[in-house]
Amino acid sequence: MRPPGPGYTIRFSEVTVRFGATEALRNITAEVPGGSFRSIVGESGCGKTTLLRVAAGLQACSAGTVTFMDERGHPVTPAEGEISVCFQEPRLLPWRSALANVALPLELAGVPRRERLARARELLAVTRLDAAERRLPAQLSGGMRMRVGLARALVTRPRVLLLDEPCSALDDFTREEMDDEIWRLYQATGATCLLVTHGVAEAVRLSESVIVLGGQPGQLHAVHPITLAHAERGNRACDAFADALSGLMREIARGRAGGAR
Amino acid sequence: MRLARAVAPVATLLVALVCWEVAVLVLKPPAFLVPAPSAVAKAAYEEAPMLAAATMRTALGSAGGFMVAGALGLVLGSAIAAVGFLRRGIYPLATIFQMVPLVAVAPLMVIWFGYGVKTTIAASAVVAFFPVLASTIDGFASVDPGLRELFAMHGSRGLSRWRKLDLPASLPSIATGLRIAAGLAVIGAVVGEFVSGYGGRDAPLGIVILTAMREARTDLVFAAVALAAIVGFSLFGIVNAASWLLLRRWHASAR
Amino acid sequence: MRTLRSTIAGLLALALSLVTSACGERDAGTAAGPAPGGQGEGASLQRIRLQLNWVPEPEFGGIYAAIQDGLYRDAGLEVEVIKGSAQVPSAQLVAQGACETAIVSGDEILTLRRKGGSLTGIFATFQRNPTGFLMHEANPIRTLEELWRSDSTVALDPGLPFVKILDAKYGGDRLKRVPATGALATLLATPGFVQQCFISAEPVEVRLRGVKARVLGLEPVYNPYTAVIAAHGPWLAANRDVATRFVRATSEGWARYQRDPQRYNPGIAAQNPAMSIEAMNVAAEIQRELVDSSPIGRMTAARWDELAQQLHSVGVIPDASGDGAFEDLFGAAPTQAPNP
Repeated sequence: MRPPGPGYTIRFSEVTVRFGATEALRNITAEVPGGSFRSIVGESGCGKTTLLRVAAGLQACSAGTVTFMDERGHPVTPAEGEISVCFQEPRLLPWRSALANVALPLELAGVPRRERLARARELLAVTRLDAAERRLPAQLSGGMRMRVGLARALVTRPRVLLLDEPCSALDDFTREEMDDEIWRLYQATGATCLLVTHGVAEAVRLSESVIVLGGQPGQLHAVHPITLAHAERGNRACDAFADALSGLMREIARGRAGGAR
Repeated sequence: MRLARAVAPVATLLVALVCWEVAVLVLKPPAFLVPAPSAVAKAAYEEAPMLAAATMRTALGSAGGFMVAGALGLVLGSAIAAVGFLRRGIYPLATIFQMVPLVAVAPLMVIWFGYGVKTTIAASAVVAFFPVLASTIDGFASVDPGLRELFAMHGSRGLSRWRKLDLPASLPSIATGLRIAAGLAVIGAVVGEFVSGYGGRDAPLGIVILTAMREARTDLVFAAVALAAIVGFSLFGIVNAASWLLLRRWHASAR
Repeated sequence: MRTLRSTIAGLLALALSLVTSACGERDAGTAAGPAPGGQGEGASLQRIRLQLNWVPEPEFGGIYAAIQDGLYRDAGLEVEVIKGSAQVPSAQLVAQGACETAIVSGDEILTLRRKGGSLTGIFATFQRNPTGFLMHEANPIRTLEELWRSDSTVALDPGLPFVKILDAKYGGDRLKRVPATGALATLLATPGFVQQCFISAEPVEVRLRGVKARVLGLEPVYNPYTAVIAAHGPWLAANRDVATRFVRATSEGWARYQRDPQRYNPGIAAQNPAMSIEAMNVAAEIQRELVDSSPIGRMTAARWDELAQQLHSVGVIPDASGDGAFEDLFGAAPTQAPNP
């Protein structure tokens, strides 16, 4: 379950991304410390997902760099499977069972069948899907599909877990359940987590600090810390949670107002 | 429910046959023009051993052509879909296969492949090839880009990705192409037999049709044509069953 | 050299036919009242469609000669020749009345009449069977029996009755039968290959290509009337006079064609660019003796009965009667025999 070592630190240095003539991100410098949980928030179209894709290696920078560092601060080149992505849509193969979907990354990495199935079962147990291992995606609920996606992302024991709005397609109740699930898995794995989200409450619930992007092209507006105790995170009705939420929302609003600067 | 679905076409067919029989009884067209269904059945019964052997030969040629077309269509379709250069260069040329007037090139095929089943298979494959090719290319082109990205992230490309992603994701589309190819394969085989089939006791349906036509045994022509259609239906049915088995659990087309 | 000569001959023939047709027009214009065997210009010509079973070739030479010389028009007829091919079922078309007349083979008349078809032979082009087997000169096979007992590959039109007759006589168990496509490529490339042929068609082509080849005629075993003009039954019953004029004009056309085929071949070649005038001239000489009779085209009941018996003996038709298969429209006084 736990990766072979602690989560890598992600460092964005003056990252700029252009799509043809359009600039999506401008000059982003930010760091996600190893083993921490960060969220990226901001209005639609400000380049949140682009920044995450840069970290995933799915998007090249037009300028600047993204670097991963181990616990001693040495830059490293992550091995295959050390960085996992959980996409907005679960991206499951519809012809494969939950078990075979979870085992897919290991299969593609050439892990022997017996070993990869054992590890996939382990992850299904952690995500409480063990009863559904033989079911196909079409036979699972939206939340279950998302958990299969999470299990698959974790099956390679990643040191960095990138989450791209994984809960946006779920209803509110399921989303809260999923948030709990993500938090639990984060605690269990010790991986560095970077979450892109529309849900401000979700960002407050999960992250230790929040990267606020704004403007078009997206620029770094602020890195906003969330200082909540463990118990307070789990209870959205408490005052501390409400204070943290409104603090973050004010920060976002400031980012929007100052977007033109 | 399933039974009811099977009953409807059978009942329609029976009604059509009865109408046809009655029409022949009333209008009395000359036998060489339109035979009654009962006359066709009688001819089929009297020539049953010969027709059975002929049907087996035509089935062999059609199945052979279908398999060649399927394999070539799948391999070339995959290659064309994967390589942009081929897509631009070969695909437009491959559409020529769709336009080939088979009747015109069939005599050439006899020269290339010789008499007998080889030419039958070639003629069958020529007409059955294009739908498989086109449906394979379409299927590959419509694989979810998200899944492509997932595989790319795990460093999967080439044959492994083809086997684990492109092929299964394209199966519904390919199955459609194969269904069309099944019917065409029989047409191609019979046209191939017209020019290359052995006569006498080794005659396939194509030769039986030509022979019966020349002998003005229209009832036998109808019987042979009906058997060719049954060969087509059987191929179609096999493709349907196979695609149902492969797709029934995950694809809407099989439910 | 030969091409040049045939071109000149073609031009001459063309000029000739122009002159003769001009004469024909003038004749019709000056004749007062209906001409004997014909009609005045005021009366409309009687239209007859003639469906060929093959492309225009010397086997239809007399018909084209009659057209070129205006014989049909003089007889008050407008004959519309419809080209055929291997895929055109000319016998079925005339049997159902899609055309008034068609070129068919003798056996087709007997078989179709028993399947409800209404057709009657009125003119036989070939008195002797022009069908045979074409093979390389070096092929050791010398007789039909040797051929039918061999394991040769033979290209045959499926369903022809002579196959059953040969099977009944000689077995033919080892023979490899393949469909005849009319193409010569396989024969040219394969020494042991044998191909069913029409004596005035494929053998000529092969010879012109410089290949030494030989024809084994079917006549000794099977000798039906061939290239028979059949008329649709009801039409014939209602138009005996028209049919008689048609048959006699055709016979005269053939007499003229036999005398000088080179005069008429360019006109046929114009309808069929695939065959050279040269080849047509050779073909006309080859077929000459198979056509010759007095008068050309006439048939006898004995020959039809013989054919019916032969077809019956191999099960192609259920009875052995040639009754009604043909009608003799030449009358008691046959038209003038062709000059020797």
